[in-house]
Amino acid sequence: MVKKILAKTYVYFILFLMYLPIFLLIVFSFTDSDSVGVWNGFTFKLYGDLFKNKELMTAVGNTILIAFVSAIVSTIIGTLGAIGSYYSKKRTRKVIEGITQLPVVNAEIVMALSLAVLFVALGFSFSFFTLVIGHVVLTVAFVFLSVKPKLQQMDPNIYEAALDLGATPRVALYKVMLPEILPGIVSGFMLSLTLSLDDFIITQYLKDPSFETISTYIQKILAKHPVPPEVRALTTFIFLIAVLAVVVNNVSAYRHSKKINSMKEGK
Amino acid sequence: MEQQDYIIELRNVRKKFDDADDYVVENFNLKVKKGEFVTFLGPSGCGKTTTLRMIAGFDTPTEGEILLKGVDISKLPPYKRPINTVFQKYALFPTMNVFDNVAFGLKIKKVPVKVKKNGQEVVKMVHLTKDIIKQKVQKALEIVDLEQFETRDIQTLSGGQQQRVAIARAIVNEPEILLLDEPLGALDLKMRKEMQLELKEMHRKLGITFIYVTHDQEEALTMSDTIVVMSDGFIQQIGEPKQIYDEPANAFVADFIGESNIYSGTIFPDHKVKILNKLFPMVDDFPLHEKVDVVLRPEDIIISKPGEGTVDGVIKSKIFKGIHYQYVIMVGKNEVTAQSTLSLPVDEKVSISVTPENIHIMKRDATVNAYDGYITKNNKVCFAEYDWECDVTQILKGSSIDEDGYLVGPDHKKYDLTDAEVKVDVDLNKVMISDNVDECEVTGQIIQMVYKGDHYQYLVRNENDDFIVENEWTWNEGDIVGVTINKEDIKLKLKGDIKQYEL
Repeated sequence: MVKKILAKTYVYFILFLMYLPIFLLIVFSFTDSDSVGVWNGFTFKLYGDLFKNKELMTAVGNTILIAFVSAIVSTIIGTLGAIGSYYSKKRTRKVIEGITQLPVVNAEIVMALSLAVLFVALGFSFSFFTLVIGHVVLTVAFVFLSVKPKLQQMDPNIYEAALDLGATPRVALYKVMLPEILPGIVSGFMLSLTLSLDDFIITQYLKDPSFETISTYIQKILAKHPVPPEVRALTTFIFLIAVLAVVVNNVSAYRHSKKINSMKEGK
Repeated sequence: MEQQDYIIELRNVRKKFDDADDYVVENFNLKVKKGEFVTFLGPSGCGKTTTLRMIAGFDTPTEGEILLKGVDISKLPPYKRPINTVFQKYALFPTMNVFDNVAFGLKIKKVPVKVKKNGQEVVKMVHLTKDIIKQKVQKALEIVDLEQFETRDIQTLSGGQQQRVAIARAIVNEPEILLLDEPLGALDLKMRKEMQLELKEMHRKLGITFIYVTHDQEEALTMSDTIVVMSDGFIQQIGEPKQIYDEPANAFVADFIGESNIYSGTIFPDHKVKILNKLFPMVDDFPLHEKVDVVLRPEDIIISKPGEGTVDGVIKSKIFKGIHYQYVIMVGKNEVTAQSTLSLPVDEKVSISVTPENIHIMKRDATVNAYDGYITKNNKVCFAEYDWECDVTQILKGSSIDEDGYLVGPDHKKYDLTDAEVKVDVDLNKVMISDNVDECEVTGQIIQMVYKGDHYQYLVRNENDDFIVENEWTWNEGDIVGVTINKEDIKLKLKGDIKQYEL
C-alpha cells in the first residue's frame, strides 16, 4: 500500500516538474509585468499586444507557412517512398530503410551545416526555397517511418483483391491502399508539422536573413533585449492548441474502439 | 471449335520466379469445362496457389498459355479478366463496410449502353446506377445469408461472416470463373464442414465454374467434380474423386488421399502379387516380374482368425475412432493399418486378407536411380554435380587399372576413359542418407516421402538432381540430409563403344 502511494507520488511529482514552467508561463500571461514572477494584476493586455506586435505576427505566419509547405512536401515524398520501398526487392528495401533511419539519429547541426555548405557550393542564395528543402530533409524520414508500419500491417492481398474486382492499379491505390495507410500518413504529417514548427537550427542556417520564424525571431531579440512579454501569451496559445489536438485525437480513438466493441458484443 | 467446350484451358504452363532456379509449376496442362468444380489438391509448396494466381492474373506464366474460351489471357492484367477470387485470408477492405466491400467491383464496372446522340445511335460506357448496384449487392448478400449486415464494419464480423462477405464480393460481379484459395482454412472444423456444403450448393445454384485450392484431401473429395492432385510443381493425377481414391496413379497420390498402406511388390504368375512376403490374388494385368507399388486401403483389409486369411500377424496398437477401431498389425517387419468394427485386444494373433478387387497395383515411377554421367581424369564418375568414387573396371570384364590410371583389358590393351559418357544406375536402397550434413559432400532436401510398411521411400533433391532413397529411418519433408553412395554400389555402363577410348 505504502509502496503504491510512493510510486504514485513519484509519478505525479515528475509530471508536476515537467509542466511547472509551462504552467508558470500560462499564469503570467495574464499579467502585464515585464518578467515572470512579478504579478501586476489580472489582465488580457498581453494577448492584445501579441496581435499588435507586427514582427512577431509575421514570424508566426512564416512559421506556420513553412511548417505546412514542408509537411505537405514531406508527406507526399515520404509516403510514396514508403510504398515504393515496400514493393521493392528485399535487398533494395533494406538499403532504403537503412538510409532513412540515418536522419532520425543524425545530429541536426550536421544536417544544417552540410546543407548550408551544399547550397553555397551550388551557388544557391538562402531563400524560402532552401528553407523548405531543409525542413523536408529534416522531416521526410519521420513520414516514411510512420507510414511503413501501416503498410506492413496492411493485408498484402487487399491491393490484389482490388485489381481482381476490376480496379486499375491507380484506382486500387487511391480507393484501397491510401485509406488503409491514411492513419500513418496523417501521423507522419502531424509529426512533420511539429518538427518543422519548433525547428531552430536548420532554419537559422538555411533561411533568408530577413525571414524570421518564431524561434529565430525570439533568438534575435534575446541577443539585445529581454524576452518580450507577449511571447508568454503566444506560448499559452501554442500549448492550448497542442492540448486540444491531443484531446480530440484521444476522444475519437476512444469512440471508435467503443463502437467496435459494442457491435461485436451486441451483434 | 473443340475449344469452345472448355471455359479455361492451361497449356504447357510453367512458372519460375525471378530469383529462383527451380520451376514452381511444371508442364501444367488442364482443361476445365464450363460449370465444373475443379480442385487443386496438394501439400503446401506444390504449386497449386501459384497456378491459381496465374489464372487470376497476379502472376504471369514463364512459359505456356492460359486460354479463356479459346483466347490467350496469360498476359492480361487481373482487372481485365472475367474472373474473381476469394482470398485465403479474405482480403476484405477494412476501411469499408459490408455493403461497400461487396459493391466495390460493381461501382468500378462500366457497361455499354446505347444512347441517341444527334439522331445517331452510339455505344457509351457508363457506370451502373445506384439502384442496380443496391439490388445486386442485396441479392449477393442474400445468397451468403448476410442480408442484415450491409452497414456493419468489417472488424465487427466473425471469421465465418467475413468469409461470406468475401464470397459475396466475388460472386456479385457474376464472374465466368470463381477462384477460391483455401477459403475455409481459417475456420474451425464444424464451420468448415458447413461451409463446404454451402459452397457446393452455391456452385450448383450459380452455375459458375469454381476452381478451388486446398491441401485438405477430405474437402477435395467432398466438394469437387474433378480433382487435380499436385506435388512438387507437377500434376500427379487428374480425375473424379472416386477415381482418385480408388485408383491412385502413384504412391504419392495414394499416400496423400485418404489413409493407405503402400508396399513395394513384384508381379507373379496367375494374377498374383507378392507383398508382405506372401502372394495375394489380384485382378489387374501387369507384366510378369515387374516391380510395382501396391495400395491397400485400411477399410479393405479383412481381419480374421489366425490361419484363415492370406497372412498372419499380431495386433500392435488399437485406437478407437468412433465408428470403428483402427489397428496397426505387424506382419513380419511390415506394419499394416486396418479398420474394423470388431474390438480385438492388443497382442492378439490375427490373419488378414484382401479381396482381389481391392488390391490396387500402381506402376512405379522409378525402380532404380538412373543418371547420365562421365568418367573424370582420376577415374571417378561425375553425376548429380559431384565426382563419385567408383569402380571403373566393371566397364570391361577382367580389366584392371594400371599405375598411370589407365584401364587395362584382359588382352592388355590400354584405354583412357577420361570424359567417356556413361549410364549410371544406383539401387534405391543403396543410396544412403544421414543427418551428418557437414561430413557429406552431397546434400539434398527431402521433397516427398511415402511410408511403405517397413521403410520410407524418400525423394531427395540436390540442386537439379533427384535421389530416390529407401530407408527405414524417419525424416520429415523439408529436412536437409547428406547423401552418400558406396563405391561398389555405383553401376556403370559405357554409352559408346570402348574401342574409341583405346590408346
